[in-house]
Amino acid sequence: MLARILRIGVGVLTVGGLAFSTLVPRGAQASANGTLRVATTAAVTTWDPALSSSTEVEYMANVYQGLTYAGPPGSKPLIRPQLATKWKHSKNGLTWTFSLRHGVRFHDGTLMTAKSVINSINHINKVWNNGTSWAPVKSMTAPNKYTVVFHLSYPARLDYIASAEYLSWIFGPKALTEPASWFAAGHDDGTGPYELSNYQPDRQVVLKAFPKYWGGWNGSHYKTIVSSIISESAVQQEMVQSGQADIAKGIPINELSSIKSNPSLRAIIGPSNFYYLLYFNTKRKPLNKVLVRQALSYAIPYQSILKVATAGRGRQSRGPIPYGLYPHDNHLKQYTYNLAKAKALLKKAGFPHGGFNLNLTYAAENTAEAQYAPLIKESFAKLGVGVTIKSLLFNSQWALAKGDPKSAQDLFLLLTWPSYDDDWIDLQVYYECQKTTTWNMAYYCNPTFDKMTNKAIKLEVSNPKKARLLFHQAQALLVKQAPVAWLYQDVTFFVTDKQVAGVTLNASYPFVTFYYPMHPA
Amino acid sequence: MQSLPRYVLERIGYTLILILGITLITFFLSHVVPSDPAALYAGAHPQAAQIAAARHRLGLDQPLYIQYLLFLKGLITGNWGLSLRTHNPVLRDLVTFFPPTLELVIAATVLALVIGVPVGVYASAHPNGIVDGLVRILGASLLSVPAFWLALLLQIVFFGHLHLLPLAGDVSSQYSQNLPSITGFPLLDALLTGRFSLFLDELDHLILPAFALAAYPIGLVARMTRANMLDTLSSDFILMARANGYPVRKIYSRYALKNAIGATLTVLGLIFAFSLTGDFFIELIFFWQGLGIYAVNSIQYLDTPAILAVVVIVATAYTVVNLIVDLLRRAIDPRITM
Amino acid sequence: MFTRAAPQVAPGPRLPYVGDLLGRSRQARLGAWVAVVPLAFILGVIFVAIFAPWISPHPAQGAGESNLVAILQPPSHTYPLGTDELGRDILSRIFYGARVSLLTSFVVVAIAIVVGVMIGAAAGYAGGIVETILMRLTDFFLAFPSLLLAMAIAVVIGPSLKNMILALAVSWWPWYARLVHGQAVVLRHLSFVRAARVAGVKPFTILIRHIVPNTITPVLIQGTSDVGSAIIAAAALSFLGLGAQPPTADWGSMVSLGREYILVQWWYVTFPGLAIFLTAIAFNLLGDTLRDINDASARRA
Repeated sequence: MLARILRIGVGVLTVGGLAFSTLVPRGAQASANGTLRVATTAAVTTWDPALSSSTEVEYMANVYQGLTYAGPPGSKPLIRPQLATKWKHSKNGLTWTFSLRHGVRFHDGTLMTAKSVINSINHINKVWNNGTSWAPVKSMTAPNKYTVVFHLSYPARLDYIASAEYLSWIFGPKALTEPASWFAAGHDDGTGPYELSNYQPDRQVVLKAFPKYWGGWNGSHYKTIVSSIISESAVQQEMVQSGQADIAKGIPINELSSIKSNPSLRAIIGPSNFYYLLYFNTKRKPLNKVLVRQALSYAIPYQSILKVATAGRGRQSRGPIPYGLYPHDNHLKQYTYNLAKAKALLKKAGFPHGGFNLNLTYAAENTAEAQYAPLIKESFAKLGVGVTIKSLLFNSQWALAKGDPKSAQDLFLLLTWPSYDDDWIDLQVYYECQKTTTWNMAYYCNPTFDKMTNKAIKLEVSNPKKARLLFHQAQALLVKQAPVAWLYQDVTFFVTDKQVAGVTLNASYPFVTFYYPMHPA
Repeated sequence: MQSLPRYVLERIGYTLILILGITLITFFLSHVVPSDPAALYAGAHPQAAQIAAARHRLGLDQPLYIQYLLFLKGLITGNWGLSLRTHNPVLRDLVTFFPPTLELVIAATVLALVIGVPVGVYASAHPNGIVDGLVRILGASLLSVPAFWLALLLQIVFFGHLHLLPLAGDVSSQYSQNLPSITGFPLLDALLTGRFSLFLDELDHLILPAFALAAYPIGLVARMTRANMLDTLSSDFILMARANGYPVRKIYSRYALKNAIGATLTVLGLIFAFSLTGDFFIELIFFWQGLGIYAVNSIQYLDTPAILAVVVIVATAYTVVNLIVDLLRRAIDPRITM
Repeated sequence: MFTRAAPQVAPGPRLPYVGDLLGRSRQARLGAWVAVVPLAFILGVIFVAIFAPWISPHPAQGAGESNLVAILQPPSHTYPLGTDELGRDILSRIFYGARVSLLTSFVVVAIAIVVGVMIGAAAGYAGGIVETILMRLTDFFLAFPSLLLAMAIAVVIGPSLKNMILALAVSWWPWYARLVHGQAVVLRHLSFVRAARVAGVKPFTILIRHIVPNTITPVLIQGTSDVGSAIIAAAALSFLGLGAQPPTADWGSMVSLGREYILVQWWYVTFPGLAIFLTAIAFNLLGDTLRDINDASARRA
């Protein structure tokens, strides 16, 4: 009897299973009209525009806007009007006057005026205790409803600062008064073409077109953007191949050939402002010797790293400033892979056969670093220099580096990106003397370099030619001293369905895809 | 030997002390790991001033033991802190992420019983036959296969090659915009709101993870049932009954099966322990939005409040289940000494 | 897998082993197969681990050297199991990975046995407050699923092969302590032990000479099965990035790295995982067979 029961049971299960698998709708799903489905890795840490400084900028930049907007690096003009239509500054760069666009509505319906701008920036400064790039602003006045005058305590390029993707949004009254829970539930009060419609933590973000957007809705646009937060590249690949997503942003570029062989998909490749650095710990022997650092800079297999990490489509960095950003120097010296030179320099430094060991740390979550760190180890081994690789979670890696330089790592791999296109600030952030380490993991301290950059910053507005010259000299000094090896600039790789058109890449906004210009083909 | 109620009270008291000890150790260990919670809270690319502001906002400038006491107080009052990663109250995150995990674990356990018991019984009815041999080999395999590898294999075979089942996730993207949330259990909510296609879609996504998680328990239950059935069937009582002409089928259904199921219940403790650890990997690989993936994300981010909360939950669940299983064993077989 | 068969502490439902199924003459031959094949496989794995540099098709790649001309190639004549993202031959990497896996699992089980046996024997023999303290300590460690405990420890002390071994050993010794404790309690009351105590023999000597040898057999049998479980646990931890660091070849981290390419380059995930699976099951079956032999001889005695 038991056997009979079992046999019947098995039969039922099989039949049921087959029936079930035919019932469930599967296969390519066409998207609802006017909906763009995005697969992205961008998680949300906060919806508060005065706090947002992380990956959620991908959504924020479609929902909020700043006074100005930066075009792709190298484009002219670089800084373009957005919420401000024109601006001018005094000769000494201490007074900036912005004329605002008329008729811009926040998502709560109120009108944007000079008051809104002043309130937003004051709020940001208060929250961060004047620790943001708005720090130079001493005071602001509104001579009329649509004009804002900034009085600075030292000259700064406010037009660049206003175009940043962090902490430069102009937001409406709700974002000033509502409590944190309002944000956490998924609300916004920006001026952008889309507004936040639905948010499920770690899962999904839905943006809907804001009907009263000042740019209007002429032409073809997507009405709804559904972003699924998927951190697994294989899953993103599945989604875009099976038609569950129209655009996937997190697929590794090594999969390019399988994407190309799929007739319904299109691969979009473009330059990116993400770049990788290898810090040398200048406070530990023997990396405290310039010759040793220079030697190691010649021993890094730049082209192999590019091949493994970007399928050869990235670019080796030329100095500390990414391509197309101010003050990048196209004639700056660049180290190349030259083992003979490396060996000669090591010999000069007193290590003819290497004979020392270095600890290298990289971020465990970063697959690119995981892949090319062994290449660096391999190459250094040819000089007789040993490398012990340690993968740490980024937060641990960073915390370790912020401790005592004598007991920290020797080599620190970092992925980073500029906050806005006026990138001289990165010369300070990564290379200036820091009493408490934040981002200067080379612990490099050169008063001459600091003096040069500070002088250049002061001249940026009043004497741009001299400023640029000084910046170039500072970078040349940096390259000679080699506290850091500048590895490469990454490439942006999106996979879209062929039905999606209007995808524009703008490396000035790392992480961001602007949805407004996109439309169904 | 003590009376049952006294024993239970003692064990509960002991469990509480245990959990307290675990929180203490975890709390202080998390301050040994190099990490900067203020920097974590401040976002991906914070400047020095932003970090300082965050430190003050999070109350991190207070001495360590005060932070621990505040943490304990919060545990009891329901304020389990703010997640450094999601910026949500941790308790709310847990309430969101726990039901899908429970769903997965229940599905795996049901599979283990529904498949394991009949297979074990059938094998014991025809000992040393071909089926029996297959069952033994399969059982040994299921007990030795790494769960994370099995999960990946299932993905390769059922999605990559056969295109029968989805690769990962718990629901297709076209449904994820307006998921119902009444009880928090996805399958239940879909049924309660009458959305049958959503229910089928979620079930579709549940199949591979549930089987991957159920593999070890299936092997365990099958072998367990089989062995205990054989033991019982060869006992004197049964032999006597058969010698007296008692129908074989009745023997099975009345005595042997009950005995086997009773023995299987005691393996539930092991199944639960396995599910706790295996669940981490299954959720990670299948991108199942449950407690496991929340824990992994929290660990990767070094989100201390969230990690502490997960540790408390896991330790509590584990010790409570062990207590229940021990009591069950005692109830079934009073000969067992504690 | 991550949990192990319940240690034989108290009478109660015993978990089924291969030995349950032997005992009939027809099965004796099958039983021989079940015993011999795993043993042969294990010897094979040990052989491969020792002689990896000589039998690997591409020994330098197995050790970690990159080969960028052949990135992510499917299985072929030159690369029997395909290549990884740095072009390295996966078969050679599996051979070299055997070293890490066997070393890790043996050392973990060895440390766990030594520490666990000492603590359990001491607790069982000493009795009184020593026993209470030691066994409460053991219970404390057992209050957490062992793999999660190992994960937590590994995250705290930092990822490296050495630290992973330590973390696993720390989370595994309690099982042996419990196992030995029960038997030590029984032995403590036996006549020859009491005689030794009366005769003034030092407690430590009694432990080493009388208690431990009489408890060692189930420990060693459990240990053999545990090597299989340790291989899986170590692979699980390296899967999470907590074990051997690149470019050391390691089965668990190979499966982890291969995940990114699972849709197209399926070989990267499949073959290292297969190595884990087959080695683990071989050790488990070997342990089962040993247990069966032991039971049979105990029954006859």
